[in-house]
Amino acid sequence: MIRWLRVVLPPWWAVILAGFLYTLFQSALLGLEWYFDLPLFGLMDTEKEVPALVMGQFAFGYAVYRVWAFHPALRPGYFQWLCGTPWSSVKPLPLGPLHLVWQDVILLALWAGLSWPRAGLQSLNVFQVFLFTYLSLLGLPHFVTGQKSWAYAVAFGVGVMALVARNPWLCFGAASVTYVAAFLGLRASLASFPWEGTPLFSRFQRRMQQELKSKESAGQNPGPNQGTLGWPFDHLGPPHLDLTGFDRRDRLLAGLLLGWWFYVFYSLARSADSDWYGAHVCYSIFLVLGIAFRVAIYCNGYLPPLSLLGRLGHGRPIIPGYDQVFIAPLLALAVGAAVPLVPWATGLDPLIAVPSAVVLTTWILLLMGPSLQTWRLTGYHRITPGVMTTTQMR
Amino acid sequence: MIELVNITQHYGVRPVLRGINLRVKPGELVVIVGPNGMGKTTLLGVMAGVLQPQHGVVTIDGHQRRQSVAAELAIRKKAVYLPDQAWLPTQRTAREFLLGVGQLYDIDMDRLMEHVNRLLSLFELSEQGDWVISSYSSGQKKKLALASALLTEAPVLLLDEPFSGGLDPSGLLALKRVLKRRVAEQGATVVLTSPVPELVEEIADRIVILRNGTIAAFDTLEGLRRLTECPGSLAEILERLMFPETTKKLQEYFKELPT
Repeated sequence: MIRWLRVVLPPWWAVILAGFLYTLFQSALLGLEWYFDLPLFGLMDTEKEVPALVMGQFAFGYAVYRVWAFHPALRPGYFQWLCGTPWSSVKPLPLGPLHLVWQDVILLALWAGLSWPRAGLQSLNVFQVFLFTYLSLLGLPHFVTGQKSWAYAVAFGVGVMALVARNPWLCFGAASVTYVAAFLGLRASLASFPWEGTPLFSRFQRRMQQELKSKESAGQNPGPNQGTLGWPFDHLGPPHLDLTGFDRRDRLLAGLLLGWWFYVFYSLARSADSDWYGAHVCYSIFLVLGIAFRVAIYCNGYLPPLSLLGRLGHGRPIIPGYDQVFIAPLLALAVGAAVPLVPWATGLDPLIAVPSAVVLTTWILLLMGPSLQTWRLTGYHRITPGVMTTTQMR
Repeated sequence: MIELVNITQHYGVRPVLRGINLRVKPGELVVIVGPNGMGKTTLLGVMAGVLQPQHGVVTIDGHQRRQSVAAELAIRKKAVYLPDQAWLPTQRTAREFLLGVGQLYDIDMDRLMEHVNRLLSLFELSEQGDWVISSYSSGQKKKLALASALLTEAPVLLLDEPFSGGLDPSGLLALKRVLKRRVAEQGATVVLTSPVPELVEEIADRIVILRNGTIAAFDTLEGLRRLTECPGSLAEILERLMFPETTKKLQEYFKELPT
C-alpha cells in the first residue's frame, strides 16, 4: 500500500512534519477543552472551521507539491535531465504522474477523514482547496509551454469554481470540467516537449535557472545568457527584450480574465453580505499597483531629459517626447476612478461596473502606446542604470 | 563615421554642451580632453545615446540616433559604450558575464569562448575568471568591464575614461595596444575621454579639446601645435588653450624682478 502511495507521496520529512503539526494542534485543542471542562470551541463554528482550515492548508501544500515537483517545465534540473533521455509524451513521466491519480484521492480522503470527527461535512473543503490550487497552478506551465488556450480555459474555470464554492456539488462539477481542460492542455503540453520555439518557455526557464543558481553556491552552475548583464549592456546593448510570448491577443484576454475574477470576487463579497468595503479596497489596490507597475517598467532607468528646473527655465513644462509615457497611466487612473462611480450616479449594479473598469484599465495599461520597445529605443529620455541595477550590482 | 550636428545639451538650466559639430572618420581614434566639468562625459553620452540632446542630431554610420526603432537597433549592434563606472552583475562569474555579453552581440560560440579566454589572460584574470565578480578588486572590475566592451567586436567603441579606475600598468599597456591595433588593423572607430595628456599623446589620431561646453580645437597633435604655436607637449598646448590668461600671467610673473 505504501509503495503504491509513494508514487505521489511527498518526502517523508514533509509527511512527518505535517503529522506532527496536526497532532500538536489537536492536542492543544483537546487539552484546552479538558482544562476548562467544557467544549470550549463547541459554542462557535470554529470547532468545525478551524480543523478544516488546518487540513485545507495541508491540501494547499500538497497541491503545490503535486504540480511543482512533477512538472518538468517547473524544475530546470528535471527538464535538463529529461532532455537527455529518450522520453516522449507517450511514456509516463519518470518522476511520477502529473495528472490526478487514485493515490491523490486516497491521500485527500485520508486527510478529510482525520478532520471529519470535528469538522463534519466541512472536511470536504480539503478536496476543494486541493483542486482549486492544483488547477490554478497547472495553468502557468500550460501558458509558458505554448498551450495558452487551455491555460485561459483553466483560468476561467478556476473562477467558476470560486463563484460556486459555497455549493459543493456545483463546485465539484465546475472542477471536473476545468480538470478536463487542464488534462487536455497537459497532454498537448507534454506532447510538444521540449518546448523548443516557445519564447516564453525559454525566458521562464532562464528565470528558473537563475533562481536555482542563486540558491546554490555562486559559480557552480554556469550558464551564459541568464539574467541581467548590468549597466550599460542591459540598457544600451542590442535589446534582448522579447515580448513575442505575450502578444496583443494575450493582453486582451488578460484584461477579460482579470475582469472575470473581479466579477467572481465581487459576487462572493455580495453573497457574504459584505458592504463592498473590502472589495473596493482590493480594487483600489489593483488600480494603484497596475498603474505603478506600468510607470516603473517604463520609467525605471529612463528619466526625463531635463530636470523640473530645466523645464521651467526653458519654458518647456511639457516635453511631449518624454511625457507621452504618462498618458496611458493617467487615462487608466481616470477610467479606473470614474467607471466605479457610474453605479452611484445611474444605479447600475457595481457587479457590472467594477469588473468593466478592471477590463478597461487593464487594456489601457497593457495595450496603449508607446510600446515598450519603441519607448526604450526612440523615446526622448536620459538613460541611467535604474534602481534595480544599482541595487543589485553593488 | 560618427557625426554630431549642432548639439546642445542641458540637464537643468545651464547648457553643458553648446552647438557642437563634430565628425569622426571611420578607423580613427579620437580622444576628448578637457578639465573636469567641461562636458567630456556628456559629449560621449550623447554619442552613445544615453542622453537625448535638446538640439541637434547624432548619426552613426548613416543611422540617426533614436530616429526609429530600426535605426537605433542598427546603431546598437555597431556601437558599444562603456561608462566610467560600469555596473557589473556581481553574483555571476567573470566568464559567465563575458559569455552573456558575447551572446548579446551574436558572436559565434566557439569564437566567443576563445576570445573570452584570451581577454581574461590579457588582463591577468585567467585565475579569477571563474570567481564571482563581487570578489574582484576595483581594478579587476575595471579590467573586466573593458574586456566586455572589447569582446563585442563592435566597430565603434565609445569609452569613458577607460584608463582610470585603478587600472594597473600592465592593464594600461594592454588596453593601449589593443585599441591601437583595433583601429589600425580592423578599422574600428574609437572615441574615448581621458584627463591624462601623456596617454592621449601616445594613442590619439585626433584630439577634441572641450572648453565651456564648446569645441576649442579638434585636430591632430601636430595641428594643435601649429594652432597654438606651441611646440611642446599636449599638456602645454592644453594650458595655452584652456587657461591663456593664467599662462600669460605666469610668464609675466616669472620675469626677472628689477634689482
